[in-house]
Amino acid sequence: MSELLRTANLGKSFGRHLVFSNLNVKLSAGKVHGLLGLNGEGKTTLIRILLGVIPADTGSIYYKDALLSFRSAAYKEEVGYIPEDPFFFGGMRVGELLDFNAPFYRRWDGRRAEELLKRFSLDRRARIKTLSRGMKLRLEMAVALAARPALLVLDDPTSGLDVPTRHDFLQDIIRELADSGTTIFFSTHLVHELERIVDHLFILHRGRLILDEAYETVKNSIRRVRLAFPGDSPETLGVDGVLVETRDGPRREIVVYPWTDDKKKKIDGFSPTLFHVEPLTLEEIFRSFVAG
Amino acid sequence: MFNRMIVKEWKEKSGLFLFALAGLVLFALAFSGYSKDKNTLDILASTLLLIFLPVFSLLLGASGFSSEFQDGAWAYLFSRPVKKWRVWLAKYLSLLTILLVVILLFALLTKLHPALKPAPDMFNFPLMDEDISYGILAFVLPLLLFTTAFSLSILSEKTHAVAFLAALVWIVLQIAVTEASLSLFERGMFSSAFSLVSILGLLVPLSLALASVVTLNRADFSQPKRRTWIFTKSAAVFILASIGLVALLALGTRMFQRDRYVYNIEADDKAFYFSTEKGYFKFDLAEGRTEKLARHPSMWGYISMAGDKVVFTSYGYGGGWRGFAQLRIMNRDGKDERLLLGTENQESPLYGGYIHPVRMSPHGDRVAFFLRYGPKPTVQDLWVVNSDGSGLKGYDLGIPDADYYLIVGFGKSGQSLYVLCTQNIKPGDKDRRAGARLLRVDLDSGQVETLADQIRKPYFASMPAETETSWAGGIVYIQHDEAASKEILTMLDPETLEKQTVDIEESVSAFRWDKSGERLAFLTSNSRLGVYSMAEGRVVQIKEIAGYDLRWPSEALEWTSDDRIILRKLEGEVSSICFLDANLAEQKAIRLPFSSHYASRIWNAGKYAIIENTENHQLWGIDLETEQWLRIY
Amino acid sequence: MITIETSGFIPIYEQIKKGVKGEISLGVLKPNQPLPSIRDLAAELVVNPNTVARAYRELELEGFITTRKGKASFVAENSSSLIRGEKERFLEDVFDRAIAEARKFGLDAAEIRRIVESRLKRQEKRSEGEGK
Repeated sequence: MSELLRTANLGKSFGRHLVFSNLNVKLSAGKVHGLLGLNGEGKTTLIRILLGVIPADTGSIYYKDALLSFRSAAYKEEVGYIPEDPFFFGGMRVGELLDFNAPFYRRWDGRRAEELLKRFSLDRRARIKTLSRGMKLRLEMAVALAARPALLVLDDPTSGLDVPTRHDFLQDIIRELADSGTTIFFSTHLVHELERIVDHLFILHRGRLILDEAYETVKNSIRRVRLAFPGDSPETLGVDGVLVETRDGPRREIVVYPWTDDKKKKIDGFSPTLFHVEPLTLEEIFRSFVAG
Repeated sequence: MFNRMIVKEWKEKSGLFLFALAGLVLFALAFSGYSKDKNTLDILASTLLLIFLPVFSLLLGASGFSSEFQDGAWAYLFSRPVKKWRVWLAKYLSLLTILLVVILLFALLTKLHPALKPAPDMFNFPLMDEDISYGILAFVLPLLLFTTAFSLSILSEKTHAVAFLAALVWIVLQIAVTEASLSLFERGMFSSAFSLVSILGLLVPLSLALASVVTLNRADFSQPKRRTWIFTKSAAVFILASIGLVALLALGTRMFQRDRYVYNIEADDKAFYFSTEKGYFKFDLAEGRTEKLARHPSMWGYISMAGDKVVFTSYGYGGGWRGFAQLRIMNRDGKDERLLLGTENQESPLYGGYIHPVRMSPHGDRVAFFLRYGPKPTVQDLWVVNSDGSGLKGYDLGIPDADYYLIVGFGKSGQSLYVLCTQNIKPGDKDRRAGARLLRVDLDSGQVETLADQIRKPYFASMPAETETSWAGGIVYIQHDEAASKEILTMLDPETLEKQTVDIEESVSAFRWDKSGERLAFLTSNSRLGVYSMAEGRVVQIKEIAGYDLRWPSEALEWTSDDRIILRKLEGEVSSICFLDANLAEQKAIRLPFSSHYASRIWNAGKYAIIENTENHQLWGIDLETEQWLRIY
Repeated sequence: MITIETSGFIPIYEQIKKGVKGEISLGVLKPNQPLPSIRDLAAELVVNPNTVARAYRELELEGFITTRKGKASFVAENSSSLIRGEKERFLEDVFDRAIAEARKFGLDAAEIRRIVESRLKRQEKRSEGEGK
């Protein structure tokens, strides 16, 4: 089965505040899935629900086609989790954290754990409290990866880290991906790094999944079009899929998804003096989608 | 996971553990410091059991999940592949080990501390099977408090709030259980009262624990209000189920039945009346049959017969948990039952009191009784009412804080009443040797006269059965002689107030009139049995006896109507009764239909000898002519 | 050195392909020389290994690399000649676009030729001046 995990009509509210509803997310095996969204719009909530940390109000989750409940625990043996704020029990040492986790996971690979510790330059006897944020993240990675997960879920793991650390972190992910074909589900609002590795893109906005598409598809067909018109610029261009539109006198800039030949022809029909089509970075793509 | 959890919990709660150790050291020092003062040692031990350990258990339990609330530890734990109930259980057991270690340390302290060694009965933690109530206090109470607090700790990270809540839950539980068992107690359901306490005491913490686990399994921990709501719902369901279970048990196993008991027995030559938890029964001597007469609940039901009437006490309910006493009268055959008076009326001077004991005058025209726990407990304890319910009159005996009452009998004309009463021993009195007083109350004038005092146990004085014609002898009681330092059998003539004593070397411990009022059988402290003749004014027989059960001396012997003395035979157990003839020689022994380790009461009525099996509260009678046993109750 | 940029039109896998071809043409990667593993290249470039895998697949289909035993990839024997062909196609592409731009500005064929000639001369003079 190519779908490792999927949700059906997942919904969650906090009191009267609806976080999201009717969420249908599918994670394909071996692919990197990116979840983008503005702060506080439910990314962490969704991830917590997937990990069975909090229950959903409506809907269901299927892991490898088996229906999960809030009480299900077995599937978590195959899921590695790196939360937004890494948590460690007070006063624990690196080795103790590994030893605490090891008995939980059937597939725990002690040797791998040691390799990872070495690779990440983590000392077994170091007190976790004394580690830098970047080192703490690597420790989380070591714990998560030592269990040989089929799915790695990361909730904005790199916020607050400097660029080199983030770079290293991404490399670790990539190596893991290459070695084990792990499925990755990565929520972040630091979009730039995601761009290089993401296979499938989700954008969660105002309680709904406004984008659920292969990244390549989006990248290939979303375009920013810079236009200028002689004289009176037309009220509407008659083109759909315009995500953002800005006007500045005779100049007009639109972001269109999907950009097709038909639309090109249509705009041509207005004889613009400036007609420039360019791609967008993931950052710009995201901003365009959440602008509306 | 369990091992890691234990280590983690010990590390986290080490502060609390040190607090317990500090307490241990303080108590040890205190015990040493006050080793000479028994009272203080007692107080310290109580403080340890009733305050320190319970508070510690509450705090330990309440701190259960507090660390999980910090920094999102709960989210971390829940994201591990572990069933949430396992997390709960692992934590619970881990903390339990801390509790058990602390309890054991304290137990060892009380067992081994040199200051406490000499008084093992008081302070010993029941490491062995010593005192059940201490066992409960020492182990079970902390355990239940801990479980309650731990179950509640998933509601909040504020340990003090949870501890407070848990204590509150316990107080409410205690009150509810105490009220419930008190009402059962008052209705004579003693063993079921205890069962109720134990069952609810176990089920409520269990319900809370289950609710706690369910909450863990269903609640969104990031939403405290919802979590609390789910917990409350689950707890309510489980507690209601517990109550339902207890109710089912009560109905199904008939647990809440009154304990089987035979309270009082009164016999004359026609019939034998007795009160039980089910009501009043009559055993007709002529027909040899048991008959149920009145169904009234009869706690300590007192009976008195005279003429063709029987008067008895019963129990009524006036609303709420409080019971009220009632005085009723009926014909000897149980018909025509009427209520004479009751204590439920707020206007009545008898309001709220219990009636006992009761005595009807020989002509059956008046009934005398004592009122206990009435509105004015120390005044006007003696009351007399006419047999038709009219003319209620109270008498102040002038004895404050009186304890035990016995109505010895009415005077010849029915105008005076002879009464025995003791006074409550005040704390600090050196011993309980104050003794009882024999009083004569003039029922018309209300005047009270002390005829004798320093009467010793058994606080028992009696007049022989009155016959129509005369009554011989006088009032017999056992007088404590301070100078001779022994108990002397004394006879008092109520008219002349002349006293006559029976002169024997040793103390007399019990006596019994024969059926004609002619002779007195008595037991001495040297296991001698004697017979005193009223006519001759001397001891006519005295003999050492062996092999008889002389426990409960006042009930140890009985006369038959054909002048034999019945005694219980003791051969390891009591399994037969013997009959002694006029020379106090064993004439016959008859096997009982049961054998018992306990002393049992014997009566004689007509041709029947009646014995009670105090182990299962059955009444057996034997027809002395046919020697057939018959189960009366 | 392969560099990847994400802001343009060109998909990452295309950029990787171009980069590999560039290295072959420059002689940095010689025939029969092993290529970096997908894992290593992906980590070095900080891109999705799937993307690298796709680039390698297409390079193999185009004949630039071969994969032996399903694991290691090597530069193909005849890659250089393929490169040359590509280069020509690439340059043709470049010239096509330059001509199209010139046309937009309204230049005719003669003027275009003139510009090309003058630029070429300039280049030759420069390299002579530098003693090449």
